[in-house]
Amino acid sequence: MNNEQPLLDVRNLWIKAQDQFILNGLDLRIGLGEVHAIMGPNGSGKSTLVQSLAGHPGYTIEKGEISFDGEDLLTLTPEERARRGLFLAFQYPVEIAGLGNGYFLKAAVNAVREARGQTPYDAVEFLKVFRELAPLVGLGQDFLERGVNAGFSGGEKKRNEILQMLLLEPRLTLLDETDSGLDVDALKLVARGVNATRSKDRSIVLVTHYQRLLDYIDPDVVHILIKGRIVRSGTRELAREIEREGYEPLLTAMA
Amino acid sequence: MSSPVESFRPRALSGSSPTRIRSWDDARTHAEKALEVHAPPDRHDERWRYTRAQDFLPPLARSNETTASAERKLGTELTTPAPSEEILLLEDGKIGDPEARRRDGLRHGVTLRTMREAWTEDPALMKRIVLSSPIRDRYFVWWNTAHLDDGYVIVVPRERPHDRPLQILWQSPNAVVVRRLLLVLEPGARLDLVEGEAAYPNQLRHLVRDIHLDREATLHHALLDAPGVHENWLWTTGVVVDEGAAYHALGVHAGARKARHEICVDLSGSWAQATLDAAVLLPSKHVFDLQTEIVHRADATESRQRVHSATAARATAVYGGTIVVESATKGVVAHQQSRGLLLDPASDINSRPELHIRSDDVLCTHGASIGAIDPEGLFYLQSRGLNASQARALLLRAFALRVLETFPAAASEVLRTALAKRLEVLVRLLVPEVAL
Amino acid sequence: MNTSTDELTPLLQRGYEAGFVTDIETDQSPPGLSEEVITRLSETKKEPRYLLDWRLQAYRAWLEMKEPHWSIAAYPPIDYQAVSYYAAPRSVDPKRPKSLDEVDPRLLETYRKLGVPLHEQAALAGVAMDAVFDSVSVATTFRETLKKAGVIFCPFSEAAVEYPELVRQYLGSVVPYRDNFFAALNSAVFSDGSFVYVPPGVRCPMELSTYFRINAAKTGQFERTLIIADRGSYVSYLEGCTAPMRDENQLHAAVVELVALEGAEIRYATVQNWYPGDEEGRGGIYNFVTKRGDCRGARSKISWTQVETGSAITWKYPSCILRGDESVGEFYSVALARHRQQADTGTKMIHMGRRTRSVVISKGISAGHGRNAYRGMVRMAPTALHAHNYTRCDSLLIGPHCQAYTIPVLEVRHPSARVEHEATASKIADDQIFYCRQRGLDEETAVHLLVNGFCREVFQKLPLEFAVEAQKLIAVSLEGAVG
Repeated sequence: MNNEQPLLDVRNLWIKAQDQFILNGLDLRIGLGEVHAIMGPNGSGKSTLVQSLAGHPGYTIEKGEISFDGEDLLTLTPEERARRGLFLAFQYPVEIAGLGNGYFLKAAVNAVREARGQTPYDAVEFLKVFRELAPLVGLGQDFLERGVNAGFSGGEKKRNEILQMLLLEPRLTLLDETDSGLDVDALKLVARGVNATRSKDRSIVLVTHYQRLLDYIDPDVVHILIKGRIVRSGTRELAREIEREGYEPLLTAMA
Repeated sequence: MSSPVESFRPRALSGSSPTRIRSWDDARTHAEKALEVHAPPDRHDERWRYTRAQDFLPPLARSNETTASAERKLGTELTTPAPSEEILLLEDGKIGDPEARRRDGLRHGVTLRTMREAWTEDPALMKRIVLSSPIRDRYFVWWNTAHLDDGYVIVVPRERPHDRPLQILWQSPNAVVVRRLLLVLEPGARLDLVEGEAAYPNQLRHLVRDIHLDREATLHHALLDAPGVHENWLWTTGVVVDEGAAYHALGVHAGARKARHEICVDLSGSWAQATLDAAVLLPSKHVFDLQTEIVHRADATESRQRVHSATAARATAVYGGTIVVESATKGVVAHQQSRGLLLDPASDINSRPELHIRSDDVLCTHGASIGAIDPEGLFYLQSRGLNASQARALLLRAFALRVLETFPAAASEVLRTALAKRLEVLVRLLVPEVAL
Repeated sequence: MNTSTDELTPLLQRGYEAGFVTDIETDQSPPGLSEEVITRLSETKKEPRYLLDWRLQAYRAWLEMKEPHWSIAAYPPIDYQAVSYYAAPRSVDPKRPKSLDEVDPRLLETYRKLGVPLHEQAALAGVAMDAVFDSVSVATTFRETLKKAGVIFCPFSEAAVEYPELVRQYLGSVVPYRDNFFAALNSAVFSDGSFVYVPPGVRCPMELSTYFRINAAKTGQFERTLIIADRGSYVSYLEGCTAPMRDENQLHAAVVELVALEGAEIRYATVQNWYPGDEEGRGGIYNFVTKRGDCRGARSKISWTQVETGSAITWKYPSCILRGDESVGEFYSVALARHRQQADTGTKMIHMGRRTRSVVISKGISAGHGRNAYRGMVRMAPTALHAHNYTRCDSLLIGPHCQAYTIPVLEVRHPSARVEHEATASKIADDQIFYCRQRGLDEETAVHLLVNGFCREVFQKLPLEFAVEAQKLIAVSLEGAVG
């Protein structure tokens, strides 16, 4: 890990949801340009971590600090976090029937661009950018007319998330189980989208249950999250070990 | 329609306030006064569009028909329960079952008293019931009080083992029958209750129930009516559900010449729940008018209703379902589903849901569909070798039993069996020629 | 999760853009209603005798009737003797100007300010407009173009004189004067409105439109619209309405009758933006309207689309009588109630013919202390073999003090008919707001997007310019409703 100030710095994070602690003093540092994978069994707190980083109102931060690019993340609203370059690809992308996907994407891109001091896209420019990016995730133009995620298949929803990531050009991307429920072809498309954004000034966190996604996206660091804490960190080899032996040895060691 | 401007339901009665009721006689006087001041509901009240107050007021125009024996048999089949079950046979003015005639006849601390006795022995309890009853200001509840010989008060304590359902069978051959049941479940008590009325030809029957579920109490209530095309009957049921308590009712109805059930539930404590389900299977010329009203008065209260109705020739099924979500409540969930099957060109089904939402933190859904038996389903069964009437019968049976399937699983086996048996009987009444 | 509601406190007072008053000399009848007032009104309009007789019959029937109070709207008693039943700009010649050049420039300016210029060069392309100001029609555009196609589009009072056979045949044939209290009142005192007749086989070459403007104080508007689409014809009609901001309530009781003969189609759209009253519920229009379409012929079709954002009280149930076999009825509605507005609206679909079909889509939005009701009835008569209805009504609640009511009655009398109904009531889903915010949109924008998405099904049914207008109207109405 790099010694400079990390892009994301989470210290001693305690989080409650519905009167239960989900995260118990979690620490996590992610440097610029790094790709981290967070793995863990069901209910270990993976989704809680990324959702609360994005500012989901359902969680109470009981204790701890989160800084993003040196700024205190906890004082920011969800949209301020998004405009500063934090992007969450939802595990279950929300369906909004009636709201046109194209309309929604353009509004979002322009909100973020304006916050960055860039000029907003007009319809023509937006369409041009969309046409460049959409094929990367295998989506056609017809998809602009449809309601946001409404009636999309699981794969289409996940690809829509990746497309939004490409459009919004975030500095930190949190992928929450983006691989779950995808067939191999869809998985490859998603990985292609993610790999296209990899660069020295963009960081990525992959939250996943299986190491399957890691066959296509190579992480710099792998963390194991159990019962609300990171219990081990290591290289890709750690993910392979989990794949072979499961979480059982780690759970037994903890008990 | 009553004006929904004010908070739902509090209706002042001119001249007499129920807070002054202290005895049986007070209650009677109060009701008599109310009847003097108020006229019976008329058709300007949208809830009385399909059955009329006159249908339930004596004297009735009587036909000279005699009872079909099948009708009485349906009513009395409950009298042969499994040996492990308790059964209470309530006849006019006296408790019929010899074992229950002794005050301790109902085991495990359950008390059974007449209303007159209860007013003397436990006036505080009676006052509480009178004042909080969601049906206290209804015309036919006053009417019931004013014409009642006596009623029954049952109090169920927590200790009573809940794996023993209680059965109540109301039975009386009188021409006009006026009945009243007050049922209180103490905190944490659980009861599975199977309740039925036996039918006698040309009867007019009135039954008012006041049910109070204290904190964390649960009542599973199976309501069975007896089909009879020569009777008129009206049930009025009021239920108060306190914090964490649950009321789950499933009615299996065959209707009558004119039959109507008004059921009002106040979800008055947070996390209170109610299920009001019904399977309405109306043979030829029967009418059944179901009017439900659920008022969500507290946070996180939940209600669910599923009503399946099927009508044979010249039968009329009515379902009016009102859901009220009072202001400043949070996290309320209310679902209502009704389905209707018209089995004959000369039958009709009417549905009148009313949602009154005065809080924004709600999720309320309602769905209704009315039509004939699904032709796709018929075709599928016929392609498997069944003839048309067998296929219709099977689909009708599935339609009726679906209500039981989705009824809360915690209901006891005895209760489910009683409901299933009655459902089968009614399905057979609708499609008599087919062996199921 | 509780992102929204706490912060969605209503603090809106956004200007009502149409709230200005036109300073113009007005001839106004003194307040009050009697047979004499009606006779004078009829004389002023130089009406034929049959119409006066009809008005008087209606008036006598009205005297016997009681004001209905079954809606959710609560309001102080209306003094029908305090209303002035006729008001007209002095400059309007009862015989009507021959061309737009003769119209008082102040009136032209009024309509320009409202965004509906009457000069044909400036007018919306392809829209012919009848402009009704208080009790009179001040101008009807593109009449010549329409005449060439055989389409009659003129003020009702002109039609009563010029086309008495048509008026006599159809007036009151869909909404008889005894139909209800407000219809009877309208029949007695109606002032002006539009008359449309589309001859057999003609597809009306333009959108027809009427813009209703109440200007005078202490007056009511009682217009009457009659549209007849003869066999195989087609017409699309739009209606807009505004009024100045005044502290007192003003009465508007209109009647609209549509008749579609065999194979004809009528599309009727309304963007209703009468003054809704202020935040405290002072002022605003009482809008008691009877609208009904009769699909008299086989395979005819009537489609109602309405966007109701204005009025202190809305009482309005545009309905279809599906008499002809295979006729089709549609009702698409967005109704918004904010501040102290009370909207009780919905539809009746009365299926009588075989294989008749109807669709009802209603979207109700309640904000502030607004109260919104969907009240509907679908009736399948024993003759409605294989008829079908689908109804969907959704209510959106914004803020803790608003209310939503849904009362959809179904009556089915034949097993081959199929009726399906779905309804929901909820606040805007927290997860949807969070999703939008995670993509960088602020909460207010998110709510606007979500509300527009909620209404889209209905907006899509409006002609394009009006859909844009409707969207803006909803956005303006909700401005500040989100914290």
